Amino acid sequence: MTAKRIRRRDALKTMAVGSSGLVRLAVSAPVAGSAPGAAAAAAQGAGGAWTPGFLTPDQGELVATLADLIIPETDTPGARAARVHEHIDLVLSHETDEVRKAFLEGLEEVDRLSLVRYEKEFVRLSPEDREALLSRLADPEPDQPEEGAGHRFFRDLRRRTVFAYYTSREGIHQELGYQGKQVLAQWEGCPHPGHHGDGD
Amino acid sequence: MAQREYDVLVVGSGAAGGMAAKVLTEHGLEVVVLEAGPSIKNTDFLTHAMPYDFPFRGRGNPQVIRKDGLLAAREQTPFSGYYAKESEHPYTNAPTTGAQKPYKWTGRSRILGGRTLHWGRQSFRLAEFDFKAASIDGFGVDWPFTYADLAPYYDKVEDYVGIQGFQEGLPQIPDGRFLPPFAYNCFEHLIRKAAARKGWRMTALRTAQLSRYHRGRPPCHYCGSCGFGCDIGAFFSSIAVTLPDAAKTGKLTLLTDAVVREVAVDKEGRVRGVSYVDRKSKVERKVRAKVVVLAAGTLESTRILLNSVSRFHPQGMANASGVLGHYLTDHFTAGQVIGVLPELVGSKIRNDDGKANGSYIPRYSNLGTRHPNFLRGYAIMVKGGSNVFPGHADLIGGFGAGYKKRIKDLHPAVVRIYARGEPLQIFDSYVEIDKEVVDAWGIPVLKFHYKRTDNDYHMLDDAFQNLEELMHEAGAEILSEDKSLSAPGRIIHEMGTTRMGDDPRTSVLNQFCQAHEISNLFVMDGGCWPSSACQNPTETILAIAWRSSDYLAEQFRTGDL
Repeated sequence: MTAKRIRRRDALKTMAVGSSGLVRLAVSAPVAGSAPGAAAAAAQGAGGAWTPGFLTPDQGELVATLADLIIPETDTPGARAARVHEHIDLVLSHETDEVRKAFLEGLEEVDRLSLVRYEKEFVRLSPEDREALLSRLADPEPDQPEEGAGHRFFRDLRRRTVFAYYTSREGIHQELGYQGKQVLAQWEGCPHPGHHGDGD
Repeated sequence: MAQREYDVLVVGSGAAGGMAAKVLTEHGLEVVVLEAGPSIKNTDFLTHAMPYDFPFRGRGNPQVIRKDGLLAAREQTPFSGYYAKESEHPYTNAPTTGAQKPYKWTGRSRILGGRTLHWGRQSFRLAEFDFKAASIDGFGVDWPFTYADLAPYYDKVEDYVGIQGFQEGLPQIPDGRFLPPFAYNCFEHLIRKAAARKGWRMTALRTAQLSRYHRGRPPCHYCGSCGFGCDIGAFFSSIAVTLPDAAKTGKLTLLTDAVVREVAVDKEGRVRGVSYVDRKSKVERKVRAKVVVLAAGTLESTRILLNSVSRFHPQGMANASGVLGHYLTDHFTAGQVIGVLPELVGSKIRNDDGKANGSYIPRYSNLGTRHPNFLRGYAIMVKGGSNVFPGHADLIGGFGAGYKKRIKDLHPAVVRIYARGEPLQIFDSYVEIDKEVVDAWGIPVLKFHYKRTDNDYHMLDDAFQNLEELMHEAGAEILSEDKSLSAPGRIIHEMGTTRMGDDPRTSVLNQFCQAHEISNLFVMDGGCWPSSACQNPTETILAIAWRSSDYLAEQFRTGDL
């Protein structure tokens, strides 16, 4: 983006709206009907030790391990550092019994497959074995119908992981470098003449 | 309640109600506006919030989603009625058969400003041929007025509201009095060149967003958060534009939290006001007025009329024709294709969603030559680029560092195109009152009998093929295709249930939105449209409300009401 940024404070002054401080205060106010979520978020925000609201600590560790395989640390933080598992737990704690049951069955399926193949629970596997097992769940072979449940769980967990990661500070700013929610003086659009058509 | 009698009572404060209030008060009439929801100000909005500012990242608590719907659960807009709670506002559907789908009555609001607080802002004039579509292809009825009748009001609306866009010289979307357009993003230039190779002209969506200072309002600052309300009033809403102007006249009384139950009649069967339920106390009250304007939105205005049963109006008010509630349509999305533009893969992440906008290929079917399989036409919407959330992540395979990199590489390169079609208005698509179910205020609800026509499916066949061809022309790698019609109601462009016409036997309203049967009753929202076109409706709703309000004021002055 080459558009000139104007300082937000000046912009707000020009536009005669409330101060950014007021906006932020309003944002952090608890939202009606979400008291448990707000409490969990507050605990996260305070940087304290995490206590799962729905999962057991072992299940929470398995989710964190799986999520970090899906979105690992690279030159930017991965899912574990973005506390993706904590958000997944928060959402599950407000889901229906049916959704929760399916999720727990999926976690059990991961460990069941791990025990069958490697005689160890998933979190105790080597990095190579973890990746190999997750690959089977991500891309099951057609002649392995017993992996159908595992694949469905993989899709569900990956969707939850992607949502939690790319709505976190780490995902939005550090990984994607999101440029939006700014106060810009003008909109300059595409700066590449090669993209433009004749006469544009 | 004091028995004050207002000149005009307007039900609803959205696009039509706000415009009626502005025009009528400026004509010197004493106007009371009844809004079913609470008040709100621009400065209440959390416009610049990020997903991580909220416990559920903006999406909302699953428990709240299950109870009140996805929209009402959104955390960025924690204002009562910004989206109506499904649990408080039930409706029912008749059993559907075959390919018919139940109506999904979504996107409703109960708040000052109504849906103008979060509308899509897309603003197009209807074409000259849209007003006489029946004369051209033989289906349905023409409008009771022509483009030339409405054109001066399109001019006024554009001058007043502020609409940015390119002048194109295309008859499908007539040019108007536009503010300077927002520049195209990278993906828009590339699709535009591909469209041109197919013989179509792509233009930027014309939107009611200011590209410069306009009538005391500041321009857009490109934060891209329009869906959560605009904190500076840079896009048109009733609370930023029409209602403040109405208030300046000193002639406006605003009554919020007033849930209208029915229109009241006197001993001669003429309208004398409305009865409403106080939203908070649930106490029943009445307000008197010489004229009533319903502008509660197509379906809510229709519901009020159907619930206004008296010995004068046994089938609901203004329903001697029997067409009240019939001819219901909602625009539909006809197919969607998501693809990746190779030129942009791995390019720098850009602020593509800052202008909160996209592009548009106007209707090209049935202009001059007649398509063998369907009537009318559709436009193609073009969206894409780097947004706050990489929605394409669920459309590609894998996991791990490679997956993470691919999500980022594709982020600026994703393009989503879909068609937006004109549904044909038919008598058999209708709403009625479900006497078995009431809302949280004890008011009987609507029961839907929505019917698609085969024309919709034939249009889908054509649209989908063209969407695929456009993507191929652009050299895109296809990520996802969906050849289906959106659920009825999903586009939130409902029309037709209080249709206008010259013949009182086949229409509810005359060309000025005045009930044929009751001269002091008007219905000014989208329900009056006797055909649906495929353009987004709000600019036309604003123009019709302005024209009808001018007429109302003149009739009021001469004592003809």
